[in-house]
Amino acid sequence: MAAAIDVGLTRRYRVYGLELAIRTNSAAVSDAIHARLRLFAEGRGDSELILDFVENPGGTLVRRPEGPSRPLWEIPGYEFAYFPTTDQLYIRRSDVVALVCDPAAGLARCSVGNGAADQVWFVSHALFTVPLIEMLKRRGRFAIHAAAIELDGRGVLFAGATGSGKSTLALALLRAGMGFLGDDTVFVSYGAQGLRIRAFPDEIDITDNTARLFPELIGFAGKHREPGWPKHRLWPEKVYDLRLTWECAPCLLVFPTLTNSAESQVELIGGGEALVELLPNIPLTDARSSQAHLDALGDLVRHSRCYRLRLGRDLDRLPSVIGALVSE
Amino acid sequence: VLFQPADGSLVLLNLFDGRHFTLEQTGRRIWELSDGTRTVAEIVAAICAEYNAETVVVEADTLELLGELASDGLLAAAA
Repeated sequence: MAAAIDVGLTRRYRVYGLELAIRTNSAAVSDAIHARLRLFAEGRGDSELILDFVENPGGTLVRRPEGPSRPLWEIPGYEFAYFPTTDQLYIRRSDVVALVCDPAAGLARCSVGNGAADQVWFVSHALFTVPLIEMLKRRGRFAIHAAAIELDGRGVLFAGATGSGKSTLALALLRAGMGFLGDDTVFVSYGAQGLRIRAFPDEIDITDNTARLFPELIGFAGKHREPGWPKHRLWPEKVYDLRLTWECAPCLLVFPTLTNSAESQVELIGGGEALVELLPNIPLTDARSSQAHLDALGDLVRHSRCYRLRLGRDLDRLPSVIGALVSE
Repeated sequence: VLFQPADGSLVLLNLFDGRHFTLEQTGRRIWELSDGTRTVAEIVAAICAEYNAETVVVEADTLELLGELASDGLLAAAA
């Protein structure tokens, strides 16, 4: 790790039984990450996971690890790489920001060069989420790109890529009183009661189009977004009488697709098909934790009934549709 | 290679590039038998015995599957 620079702002959280510290010299980064973790309890013990975000204008960025690497994702202008020899992640955006993560040790260090104000969203999202997910994966908490709600103690996951309708579904169901676990990413892990879905109640990022679907959110539509933020930021507890569910048993695994049809339609699918849909959730890093992640996804499929959902314009009907599926 | 059973099939995932493969009943059995201790002929013989199938058919299907798995980096020849 790089030489120490003052990271005077420290916030601590307790996340799935682990102590997490976010250390930074940037109030903007600290606040942006806190907005995402605001509903987690404050950490009070020794930090097991530490993420440092250091603004260092004109200084050098954290150094790229040495040795062979393979890309985790290939996005022009970015590098997301895994270095198997040293078991490190490396993320870089042009010559402006870079991060090195030692997931087994629970350490990540990010440096931001010139133009730090333009990087707050990227730093507080991809550069926070990717190392956190990998650190948690090494500790038996496995991420799924999914929204999740709970009804009568049973969890419904809506898994899919950005734009598949996850946030729309989460909003349509939480406003009907169902328990909320997250709208974009949740985790699964094993506890005394077996496999459980664990909440990650992040801000909900909504587009103008999503805001127009719900009367109480119409004020977001057309409103200026915060500079650097691609979508509007919604804290659901400020708009709804939110019932937050921290964990529950899996029941349904649903793969939504947005359509323009009048009525939503569901189709039962097999476990093999569902598991293949979930494979992109596994960061392809070290073999042991990746196999453990795949094992957990396999268990999730075995504990769930799996459906495809072609999401129509009948959002008011969704609570009864999902309620009926949960009750089957 | 990571692997996971699901609904009677077996899902294989190449850790290095993310390519995946789903094997159904017989394919799954061929992959399980391809553990580095058996020759192709022994795998074919085992499949013929277990499924009461013709050698010529099983041999062609086995070679085709092993070739696909090898080209996807999900199987390598034993040293």
